[in-house]
Amino acid sequence: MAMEFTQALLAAQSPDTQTRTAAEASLKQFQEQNLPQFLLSLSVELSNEQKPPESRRLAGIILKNSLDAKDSARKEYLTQQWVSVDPSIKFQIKESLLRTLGSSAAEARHTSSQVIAKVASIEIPRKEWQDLIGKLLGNVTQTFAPGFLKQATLEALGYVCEEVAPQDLEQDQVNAILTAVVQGMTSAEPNSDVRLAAIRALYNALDFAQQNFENQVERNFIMKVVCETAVSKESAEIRQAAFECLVAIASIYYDYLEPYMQTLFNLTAEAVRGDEEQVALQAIEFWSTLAEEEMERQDDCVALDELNSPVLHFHFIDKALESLVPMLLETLLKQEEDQDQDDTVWNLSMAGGTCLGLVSKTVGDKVVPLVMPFVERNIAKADWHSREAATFAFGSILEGPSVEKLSPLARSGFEFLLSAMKDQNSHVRDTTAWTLGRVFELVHRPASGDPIVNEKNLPGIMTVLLESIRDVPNVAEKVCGALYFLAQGYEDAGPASKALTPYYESIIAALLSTADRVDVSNVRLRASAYETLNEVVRCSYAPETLNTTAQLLQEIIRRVIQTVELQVVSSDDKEKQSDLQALLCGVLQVIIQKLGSSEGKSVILQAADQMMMVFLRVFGCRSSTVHEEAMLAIGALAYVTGADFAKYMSEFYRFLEMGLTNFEEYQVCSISVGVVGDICRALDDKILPYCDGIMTILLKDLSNAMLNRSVKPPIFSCFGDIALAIGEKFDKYLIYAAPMMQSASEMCMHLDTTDDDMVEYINQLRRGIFEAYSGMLQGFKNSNSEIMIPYARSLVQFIEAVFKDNSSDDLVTKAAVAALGDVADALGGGIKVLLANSSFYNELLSECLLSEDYTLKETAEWAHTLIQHALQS
Amino acid sequence: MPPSPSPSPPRPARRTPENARKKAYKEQTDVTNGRRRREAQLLQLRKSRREDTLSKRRRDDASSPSTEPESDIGPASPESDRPSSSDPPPLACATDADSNKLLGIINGLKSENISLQLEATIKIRKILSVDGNSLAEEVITADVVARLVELLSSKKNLRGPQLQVEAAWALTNITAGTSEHTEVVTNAGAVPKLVKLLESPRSNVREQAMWALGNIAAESQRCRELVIDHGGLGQLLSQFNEHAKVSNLRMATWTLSNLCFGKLPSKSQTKAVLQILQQLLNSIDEKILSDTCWAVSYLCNHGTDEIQMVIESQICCRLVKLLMHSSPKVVTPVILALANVSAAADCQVQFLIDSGILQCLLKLLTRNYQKCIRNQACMTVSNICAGTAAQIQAIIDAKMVPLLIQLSQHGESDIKKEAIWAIANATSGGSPDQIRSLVGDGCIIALCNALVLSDADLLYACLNGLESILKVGEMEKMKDEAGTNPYAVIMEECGGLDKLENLQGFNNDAIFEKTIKLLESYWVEEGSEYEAPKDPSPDDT
Repeated sequence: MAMEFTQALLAAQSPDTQTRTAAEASLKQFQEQNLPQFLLSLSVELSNEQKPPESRRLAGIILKNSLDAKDSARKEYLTQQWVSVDPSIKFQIKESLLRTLGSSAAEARHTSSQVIAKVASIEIPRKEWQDLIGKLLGNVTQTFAPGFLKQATLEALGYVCEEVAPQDLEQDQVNAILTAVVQGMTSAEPNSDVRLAAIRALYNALDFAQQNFENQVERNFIMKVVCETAVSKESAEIRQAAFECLVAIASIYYDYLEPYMQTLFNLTAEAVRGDEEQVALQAIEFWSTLAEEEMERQDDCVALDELNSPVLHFHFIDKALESLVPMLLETLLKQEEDQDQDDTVWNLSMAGGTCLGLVSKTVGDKVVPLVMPFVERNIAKADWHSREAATFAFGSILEGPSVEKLSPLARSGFEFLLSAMKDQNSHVRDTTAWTLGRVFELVHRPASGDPIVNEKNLPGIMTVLLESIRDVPNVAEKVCGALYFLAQGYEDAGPASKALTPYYESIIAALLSTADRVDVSNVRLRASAYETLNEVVRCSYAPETLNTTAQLLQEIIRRVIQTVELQVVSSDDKEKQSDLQALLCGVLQVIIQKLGSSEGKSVILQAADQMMMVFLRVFGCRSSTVHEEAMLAIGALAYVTGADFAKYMSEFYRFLEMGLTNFEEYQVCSISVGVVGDICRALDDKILPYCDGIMTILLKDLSNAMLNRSVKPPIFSCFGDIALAIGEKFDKYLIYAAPMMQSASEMCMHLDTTDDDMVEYINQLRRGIFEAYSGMLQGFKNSNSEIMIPYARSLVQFIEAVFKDNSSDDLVTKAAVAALGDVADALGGGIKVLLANSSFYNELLSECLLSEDYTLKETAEWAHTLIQHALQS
Repeated sequence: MPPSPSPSPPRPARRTPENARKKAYKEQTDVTNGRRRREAQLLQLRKSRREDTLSKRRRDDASSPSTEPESDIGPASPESDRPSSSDPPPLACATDADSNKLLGIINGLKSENISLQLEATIKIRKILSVDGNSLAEEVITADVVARLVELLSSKKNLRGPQLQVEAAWALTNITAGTSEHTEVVTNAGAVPKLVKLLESPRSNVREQAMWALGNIAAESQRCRELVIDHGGLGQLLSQFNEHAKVSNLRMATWTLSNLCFGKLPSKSQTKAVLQILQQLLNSIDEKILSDTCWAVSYLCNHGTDEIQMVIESQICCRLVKLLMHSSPKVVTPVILALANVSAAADCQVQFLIDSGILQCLLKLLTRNYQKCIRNQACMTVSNICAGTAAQIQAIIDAKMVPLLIQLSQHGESDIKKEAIWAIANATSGGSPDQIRSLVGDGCIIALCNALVLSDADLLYACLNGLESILKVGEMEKMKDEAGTNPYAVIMEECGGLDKLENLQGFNNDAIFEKTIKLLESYWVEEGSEYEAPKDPSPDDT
């Protein structure tokens, strides 16, 4: 077998398909027939110095993939599979992995350290393989151990720390790891590969070092070694890794940072000014991280104010500001040619500007006087680097400082920015357009008394923007962004939003032709153009833009039809078609909502047939799934058409079903469930003919373990929507739906409430269940309310359980109180039995009656009155 | 359903990886944001539609399957909420097409087919519910209204109740208009039929009828009497029973309050109303509570008989408690009612004091309530100050005097005046000991500062107050070795004497006489001007 096994591993990498397939099959067969032996063979192959590197490599990969997977269900399966392997075989596998760390083949060592970490991630939380850390440390602390063994072992230690959670290691193990790692970093270690591996291991071990950082002596030592490593002369890689550690320390151990800040400032400043770019970037990253950390702490301080916040906040950014800002400004001058046309570039000027933006968000107004002299000094210089840097600096500080502080600057800078849109350098134009967008986004307040964009300068602005949108694609994209924010500023600005009306048609025309540009190599410009179009339509002053929007509607419909008629050959074509349809359906949705809620409703009604036809054709472009954006737009359309939507149902139903059954693409399923609710409200009992089908699918979805859980709460809400729409006719579904609601209610009581995501999910589920009950109770109220009697008790119990569980949020409480009122409303005196011997409902109601939330209070009053009446009847 | 949580949750990413940072460089909107936002908007819309649908059901009764929310008109409150006729909506001229449409509707209305009648009635109701609809004026003709009134009695058919609701609704919308419109409705004999509908077994029919009657009652005393003469009050009171739904109770209370706006024809009716109001005062529904309190406050407006009946119905204690209700919609009518009660006989005022009203008033005056509430509260205090010595003592014990003095100087003008009234009343009627205490709190200065006002009644009251004070000062004079009236001294020092002398020129006999009397009694001796005595004790501090 041994030789055959090697052959199979080699053949599985053969370029010849037939050979490869056969080899893969035989490996699979081996795996299925005897998994433990298969795993053992893999580890033996990996550790055998006599074997060819190719077979060892593949053996390592297969072994790794037998232990871990991205998909959490698969990972759980693999974990169980490993756990059930015979301990003696596991022992042999682990021994050969450890042995491989000393292999002379670098690749085998590397793979082995990864696999060791995967095994550790399964076993260490289970308190197994407890001697692993000791064995690894033994390798490192041997005085005469070869460098490559130390290097691989440190790498393994790092990976183990990455895989295992801090609580799974004992403190003395942590201490030993840190000692070994820090030892490996010092200049006493002659081998620079070992030092690099050590510093990278430290990076992963930092999470475990809480106690060590609390201790001043240990902390001082760790910081000293890291700082020394950050200026080590050997290699940029080592210094970079040291700075990465400092970045991590800035966010994990912020609380202990104060004594080191002067040193750290000097270190980072030297790196930014003099070291190689990869090191300098990390030094800037240190300040970006610190700024983010301080912003977060500012928020926490505000949020925790009343509790006498224990959050430490040293205002490092603020204190370093006068030296930090000039350092960042210098980096802005280090642009590369054409960096804005290449998405993969990340250099000093980009990192510096981004950091300046974060600093500005952290300190606000204070940054302005430190940056403006630089802007003024450089903005008109002959060298484009200076002009671009000045503009970028200005654009970067627009978020954070107050509008009052920025308004005069923006006002006086407008003219200049507009003229810079004609700069001969495209990089300058790109940055200028982006800066204009930021001004519109952050400083433009049309409803204020003295808006920076006014009737005097708006014509000039529009002329420039409409001209520059024809510039090279990357500039055009930024111009779209500028138009986007300019329009968005007029949202809810009342009559002030009339200001854009005179340009409405030309903006639309410009955006449509931008979307049509053929010189677009990246798809982003087209998407930006359509998204900007949406914003312009959404924020326009409806009474004046109605006709133009109606024309746009026709144009978009025409464009969708074009996409349907496109020749689609390759999968690439298909994807392009689908993306374009998504953008266009998005525009249709925006237009439907804009016109449908105003006097333009008749326009939508007139075009409804056309639009439905278009949506159905879009659906027709795919075989197995439906288009999300088209589905969303249909939901919006149903609200406008109301009961008239019935005429589309016979054709649309097929696609609705397709969406509802698509549990692999759960977003599609989720959107479709929502649309069922929309249609219920539009059609009322005219939805009846489709309910058998819909209910069957929804019930199946609920019990489908593969369906993403986030879809399940909306399905319950949807039950309520259907029950409300069809009233007593819901009776035949009740016996299927109600048990689902009951078991989901029970499950809510037994889920883990320590995990925030889970709590959020439980609350969504609770709301969904209550909405289902409410819909059914109200649906049956007038005709056949007795049918709900058998289920009322478990509802009341559920309400009680939710009330007593303090993880429920206000929305859940409101839904619970409403459902309580609905029981009383529907069953009247019938609730006496249910509420006998219980008093929780009085507590619940009186708690809600004291609430500051007006709607909750109102709901509680309503429920209270109904219950009182029911109890007295 | 959801997967069980894995034993150790994955650790959060520790730092911003480079590509996330890269994304922040010249960040602009991207497509996914637009898509997510559109989805969020639709979700929001969905949520509010679901709420709407549910709350419509929760309000609705069995027989009104599809009422359109857009045509809801809130009840008109008796004083002000009527659409004002001075501000006409822009009326477009009715076109020929409109007229034809109208003709069709009217034909439907007059047909004998109940479906056509219903359809037409709904259309009319909708026309009427849109402000400024050019067709509204044309619909409100004697003919149409008479037909709508007829339809109120239709019941033969299954859809009869629905038609009744729609017809009553249309009439409700008409009665929300001008006085002339309401008159067309009453002339068409709507009132007896609407009253009859209050017997309907359908709660939504009763509710709509009450609404219409409430609007009619809001019109004038004549209209209120018309409703009462047709037995509307009795029918309305019978709506308050344990089977009634909240929405019905709300409507009934509002209508009842409108009927109470005018004096009720008989004492027994007032009594019956009070019995119901007494129960309603315990409601937890804010709307019901507020309208109940308005009804009480209207009743208290009608005279001492009604006030006496209010007191006898033992609701004052509850009313006083309601002064501390969280909603100004409740507090406003309550304080109006209590202000009226406090103006009644002393024994009636004593009820209020015994119920603990003073502490409540103190809170109303010191906290951030609306001005009208504080004003009424201050008026109530001044009424109580005009009572017996025991009642004045209650004011002093409640530590209210310093607050009154402060309000008399810094309050808004109406409240200032009421505070001065209160001080003048208290000093005029207080016992010598009480006056000493009032003076100690600074009443002399407060009254003297008021001597520049132009309101003759208030001035006279202030002079009366000062007179009582000076009288007590004379008693002090006898105890004092120097033989000076200490209160007269305070008046001179605060410039009150100058203001008093200026009043000699005030063009009002009573005030002139009172002024002269005061000056002559306390200052003008031997024809020479009085000089302030030197401080008798040496300053040794």
